[in-house]
Amino acid sequence: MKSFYRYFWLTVAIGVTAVCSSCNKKIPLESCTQVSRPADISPDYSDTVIPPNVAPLNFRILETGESFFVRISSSHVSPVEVYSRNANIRIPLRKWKALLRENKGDKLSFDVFVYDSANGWRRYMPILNDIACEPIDSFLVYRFIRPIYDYWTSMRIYQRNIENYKNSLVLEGRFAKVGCINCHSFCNNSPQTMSIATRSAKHGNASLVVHDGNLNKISSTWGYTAWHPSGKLAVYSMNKVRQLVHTTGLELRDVFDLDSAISYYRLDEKAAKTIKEMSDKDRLETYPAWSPDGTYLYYCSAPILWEDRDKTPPDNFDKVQYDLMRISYDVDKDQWGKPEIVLSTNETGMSILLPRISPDGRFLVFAMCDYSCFPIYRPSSDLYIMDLETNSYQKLDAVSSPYSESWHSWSSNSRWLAFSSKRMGGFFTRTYFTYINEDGKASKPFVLPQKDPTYYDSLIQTYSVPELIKQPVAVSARRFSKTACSTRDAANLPVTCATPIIPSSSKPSENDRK
Amino acid sequence: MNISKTKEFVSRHLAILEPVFFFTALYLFVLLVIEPELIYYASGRVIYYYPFVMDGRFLYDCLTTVGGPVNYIASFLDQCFYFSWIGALIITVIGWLFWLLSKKAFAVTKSKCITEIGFLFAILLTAAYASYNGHQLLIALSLLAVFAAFVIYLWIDLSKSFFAALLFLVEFACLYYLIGGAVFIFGLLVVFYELLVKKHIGLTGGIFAVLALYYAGVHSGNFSEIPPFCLMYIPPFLILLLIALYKYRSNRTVRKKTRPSKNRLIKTFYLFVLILRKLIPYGLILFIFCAVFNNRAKSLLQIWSYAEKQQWQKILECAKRYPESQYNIFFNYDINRALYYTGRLGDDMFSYHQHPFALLLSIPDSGSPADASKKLCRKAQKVDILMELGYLGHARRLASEALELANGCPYLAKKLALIYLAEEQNETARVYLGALSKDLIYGRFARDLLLRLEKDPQLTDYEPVQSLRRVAVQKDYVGDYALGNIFAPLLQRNSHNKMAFEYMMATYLLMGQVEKIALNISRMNELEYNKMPRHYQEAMLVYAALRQQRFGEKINLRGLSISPETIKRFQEYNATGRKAQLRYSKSKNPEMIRQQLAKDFGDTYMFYLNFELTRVEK
Repeated sequence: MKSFYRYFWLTVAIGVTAVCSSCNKKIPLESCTQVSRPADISPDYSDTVIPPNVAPLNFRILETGESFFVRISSSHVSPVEVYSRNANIRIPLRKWKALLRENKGDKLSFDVFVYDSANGWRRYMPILNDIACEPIDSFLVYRFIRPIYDYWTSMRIYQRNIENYKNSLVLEGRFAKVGCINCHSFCNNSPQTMSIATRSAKHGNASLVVHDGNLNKISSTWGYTAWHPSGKLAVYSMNKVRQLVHTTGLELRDVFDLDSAISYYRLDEKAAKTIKEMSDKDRLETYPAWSPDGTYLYYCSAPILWEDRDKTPPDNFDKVQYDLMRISYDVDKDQWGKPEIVLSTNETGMSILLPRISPDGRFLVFAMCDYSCFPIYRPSSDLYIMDLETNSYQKLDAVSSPYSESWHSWSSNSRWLAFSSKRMGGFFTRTYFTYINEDGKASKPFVLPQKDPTYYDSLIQTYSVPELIKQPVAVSARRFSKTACSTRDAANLPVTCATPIIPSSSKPSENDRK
Repeated sequence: MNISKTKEFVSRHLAILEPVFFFTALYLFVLLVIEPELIYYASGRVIYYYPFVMDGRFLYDCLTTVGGPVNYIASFLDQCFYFSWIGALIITVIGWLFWLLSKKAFAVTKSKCITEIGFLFAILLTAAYASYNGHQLLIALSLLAVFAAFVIYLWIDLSKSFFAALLFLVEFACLYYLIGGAVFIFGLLVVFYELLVKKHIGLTGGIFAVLALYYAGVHSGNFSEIPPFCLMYIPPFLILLLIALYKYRSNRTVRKKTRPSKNRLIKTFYLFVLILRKLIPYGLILFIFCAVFNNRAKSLLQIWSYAEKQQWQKILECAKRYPESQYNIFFNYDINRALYYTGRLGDDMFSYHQHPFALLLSIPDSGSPADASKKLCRKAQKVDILMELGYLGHARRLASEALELANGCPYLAKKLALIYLAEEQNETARVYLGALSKDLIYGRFARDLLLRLEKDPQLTDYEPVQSLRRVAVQKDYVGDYALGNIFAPLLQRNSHNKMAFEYMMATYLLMGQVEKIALNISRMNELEYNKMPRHYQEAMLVYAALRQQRFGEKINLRGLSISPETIKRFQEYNATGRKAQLRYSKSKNPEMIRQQLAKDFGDTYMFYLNFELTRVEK
């Protein structure tokens, strides 16, 4: 027995030594063959600007080799060194954080070394990135679903800590027996006031509203939602959405609103109201977004080009283009001004969608595509930025790709933009980040980092509707589920009136999603 | 030899041989009759698919979730059903483990009960699989864990209530982590045991309170995927009941020393009872075979498995064995595909029962929730024909919807990968192949294809993709298409698309549109037929006869290579039909005419047109 324990501990000691020796492998840096280009890595974390609080950018080296070594360095603090027997580089979290923290505003260098028995060690040119001074909001809330057409089983909304890899569930449709959960929206990048729309055959359509930490269910279907910066009201669209499918093409799905309108809900009055000045029955209104001071509501509007409002597909559906509009608002008096055109399709020749204004009020980022109201399904969709001081706009070239870019969200410090892109092949939506400087210039985007560098290589789900928030959503998934299933309605809206009654001059459509 | 020693020898060996014999019989029954491989093919088509991924992240997610461990094991074992012999072994081993536990339960409680009751769980598990209603492993493993924990509880047998309660809580907590909501069953077993056997009223109350709190506070969070009730829940409670009854009887009855009866009749009676006890489990298995076994589902699953493996001849052999009255639309669909791939669609399609909707699974969607599994089945099955014809976009859509409804079943991911490769969307295909590479069964296929893609991004030598590219429709249009219009774009794209041509002709045959057969017959010249398929010949003869009858027009069929045998048969059909009409005209029963003609002409197009098409239209 004693000899058994002796041999056991000897084996353990040998194993530990072997592991330690492989960790502390010395790379003969002087005798490396120099390669006159940077190494190919996946995901592409090169020539980009990264926030100082982002999780490690783990990546895979796409060069052939038997051993791999990466040194990550900047001006201050010792470099982080990672040795790996396979091409997957996983950077230790604490060392990475220390490195970024001490080198804000500086360059970050990835020195990649690859070994094979025929050629020895090869050293590639360094991959350079910039570390921004401004951090990004710590949490990202997103919807996690497979690419779907008309049917779905389980939708989930998650929140991901951008500073590490922790992911937690906000709401799962299956537990609440709801069919669809979507349109999560936050006031001022804070989960203290937020909403999630739910649709359920069993529990009815509703919006789960968190206000000052209190969760309530409102039996009203909120589409695309924008919270007034004061938190006193939320403006939302009601959309009669239809989808059709093409026979061929990169993207088969095409979505249009047969009808749409915008309403708002005041929390103090617990009442839903319409905006008479905007309720034109011959126009489609959608995608509300507030200016940071709450004095203007921006939205998108297009003329209805068909007479038959039930036909699918309607005539001229592929000619629908939205203008960018705005309307003034006095939150204390609850009074609306007159709609004004901010940017017209006559000028751009494209459909203008998804306006979002930076919290400092300087820039407005929007998506433009050839036609349609749903830019994620249009490969032509790109992001544009408008300087609200000069009203000039330009394409965010650094962010553009041959595939769809859309669904963007500003960080609370107006320096970072999270957005959805299909640039990895054209089909699966991933979340990317880009740095927007004071002049409105965007950096090359980088994808949300994952612990497993090969994560995106086999992920057949999509990350949709990314929203940056400062703190985590405090309400548990369980509470959200229970509230979604409850019959209590905080708004005391009439059961028969999912949408408020409009005066006869104009009538919004009911939100009608499959 | 001493009689008592002989008896002891026999009973000791019987105790070993009996379970060996029973479980061997069970294994063979499951392997040969149920064929677990068919359950694998049913997953993601008609039964729920439990995903399993060979991935550290998946394992981590399972280990850090309540009920995750049992889900992980069940999902892994579900994949093993791909090999019938392993699936049968899994079912047998689970049944055997339960039997062992039941034996232990009787032993630790010193109860002399009918040990054959331990076989009941294995029998019920087999019965559940025999109905092809879904995978049962999650339930079975959960119950096995519950019963194992209960047997441990019995075995430790703490007399003091405090320590018994502590043991219960520890086991409850461990089980909750391992199996989730099914732990409730363990709680109930302990409650009933303490109440009925140990008569610890205080402890029973305490445990009951814990259960009530658990149910109200936690269980409603739905941390279990097992149903509220199923037959497999019965054996543990039955065993507990037997133990309780035995204890009750043994406490009440004063034990008297009895001499073994010398009465021959009584001995014979006890022997008879003993034999009956031993035979009951086998009788139950036979009962399953007769009462519960879903032969129809099995035949359909067999056809699906053959279709997946492209064993077309076997599909036709299976179809011949199956009664026509029990055909369904999915049957027909794969039979027609098999006929096409064996080059017999135009010659023999009416040798099998046909339905117009079966060709392309063109079944209208009722929208009813009860239709959900049929919806999945329809979408999943239809992907194949759309791919093979050339509608890659529509196939992609249906496969994506089916993938969502089927909880990510890998065979659909495989089809999506092939579609994207055919459409030269390699990056998207790589993602599907990347996901598939982590599947236990499809992993190798995916990894091989990824390597091939590295070497040759165009996949010039990969026939499954090249064949799709040859027929893929390029022109875009929006909206659904009527059945009649589906083939024109395909033949425009590639006039050598033989499948499109034969399916188009089959559609016209099924709809009774002989004039369209005549209109399109010349397309055969581009498709290198050796001879005109029999049914086309018959349709042309019908067409000529109808033109003659209605318009007095004589159609020249000379250039069409209609065989003399077909002409003769056509004439005989008409003659026999006229005779039958005369004979049965007084009875006014068309069914008699149909039966008369079915004997010799049931496989002809004329028969279908006159008798089967009208039935379908009704």
